[in-house]
Amino acid sequence: MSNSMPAIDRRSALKIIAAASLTAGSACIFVTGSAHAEEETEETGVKKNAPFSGRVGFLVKPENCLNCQACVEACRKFNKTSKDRPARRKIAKYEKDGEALYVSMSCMHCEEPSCMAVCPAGAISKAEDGVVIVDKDRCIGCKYCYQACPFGVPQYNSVAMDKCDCCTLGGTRPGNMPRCAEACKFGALHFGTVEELLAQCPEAKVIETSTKPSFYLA
Amino acid sequence: MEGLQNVWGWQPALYLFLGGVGAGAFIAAMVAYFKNGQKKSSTVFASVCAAAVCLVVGLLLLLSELITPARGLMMWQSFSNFSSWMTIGAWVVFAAVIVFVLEALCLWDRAVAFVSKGNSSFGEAVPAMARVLGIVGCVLAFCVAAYTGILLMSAPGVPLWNTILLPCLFTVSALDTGIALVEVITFVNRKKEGMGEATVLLLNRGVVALVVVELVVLAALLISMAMAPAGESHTAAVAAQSAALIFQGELAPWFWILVVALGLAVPLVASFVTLRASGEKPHIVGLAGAMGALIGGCALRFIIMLAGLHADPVIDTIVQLMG
Repeated sequence: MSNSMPAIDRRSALKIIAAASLTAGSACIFVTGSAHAEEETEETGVKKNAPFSGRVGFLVKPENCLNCQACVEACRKFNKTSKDRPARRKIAKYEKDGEALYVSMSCMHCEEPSCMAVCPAGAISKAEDGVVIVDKDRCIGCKYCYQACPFGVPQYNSVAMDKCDCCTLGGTRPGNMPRCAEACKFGALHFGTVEELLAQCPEAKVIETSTKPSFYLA
Repeated sequence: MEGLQNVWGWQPALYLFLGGVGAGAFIAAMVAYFKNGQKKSSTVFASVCAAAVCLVVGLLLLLSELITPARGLMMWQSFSNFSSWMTIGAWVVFAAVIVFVLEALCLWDRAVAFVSKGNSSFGEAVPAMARVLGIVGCVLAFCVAAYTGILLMSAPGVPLWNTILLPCLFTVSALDTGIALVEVITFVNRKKEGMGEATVLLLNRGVVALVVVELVVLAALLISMAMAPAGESHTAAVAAQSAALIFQGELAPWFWILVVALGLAVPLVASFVTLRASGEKPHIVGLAGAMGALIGGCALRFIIMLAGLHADPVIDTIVQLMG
């Protein structure tokens, strides 16, 4: 119990800061978001950033997550996910002995993705930087990838399977930082190469599954 | 039906059942064909036709479940990744349909007479062709039966499915329900022709053996899931949860009544009665047993499909983090 007290105190403090910063910063985020959007339309098709050198992944620090949903909203906005559909990213709540942890989750961009192995149409592939991407023009929507994914990540819309592609728009613009990681103001969600993430947090734990997810928890 | 697997609906469940029953019916029909000295038989012909229809309807159901069925029809593109069991299975089912149809044509007097009108040597080759197609068809049928289980087994996220026992169960059930379909056709066709005492005896002995094996495999599957050490990992906990759903949960009434009582106990008793009665004419009790086996086999696919809950491996790491 004594161990959990400092975490709660820190969390309460973070919540107050979050409430204040979210209210005050929402207008700024909106303005910045519009500026980004303008920039994006101007640079259509231009690969501005260099691809990540090495396999990319996510590092999540649940102790820092306040469930503010900023990552989910940023994902929803960039990927134009309508309100009536679930976003590509979600925040899962885990509870033990009254203590709750929030984990921001999306595609784990596994090293050996089972979704890619089972896709009959060969619509799922891994980009050079390890991002698992879906060719929507090839996907037949059999939903076998959902059954094969240990995390139940794939979702389906009226066109094809839909999941996180690290904001690369189907692999066309490698090198961009996913909007969810950019949106996290509390250091709960990090994106980078696996080497960078592990150097940043050597004690991070990998999730033990046969697909070797590029997703670490600390 | 909340809390059950609902991403795959009723179409894939029915596809797995029809794939199995079609495959099993072809094998049972060929057993009867070879046992009767490869004599032409309207029952065998009808059984082969029914087997082909089952597979075609199954494939159409699978297509109807797709988001883009039209794209799915372009099989050379949509089923081109051979690391996927769905691809392998789709092509095996497709090949099986072709072989079943060709075998049906070889067993159909009118078709043989029509084709051999201008070419008498073709007519002479038909029995040999029927023999070869029968054997090739049996191999393909066995592969289809096993594939229906392998398709689910290769989903690592679902503990109930991710076991070798599932293809074993579905293969045995496919053979069992296949014999049942042939028995139903034999009963319907009883006024026209009998099956032959030796064949009836063989098929009923087959039912007894298959039901016993199916009971053992089903028990092994469910007990291994129920006994999974739930405290060790979330995957094991979900395995136990799936088994509990079937044994005593929401699916239990369907499992005990449709699968165990109708699908296994009734065919077993019916086969014993038929074996004691013997004779060429199919018995009404045999029909009851066959109908029970078909209903039970279908219910089994639905129950296994619905109880296929996803595990969440993240939980195990979170538990470590939380100490």
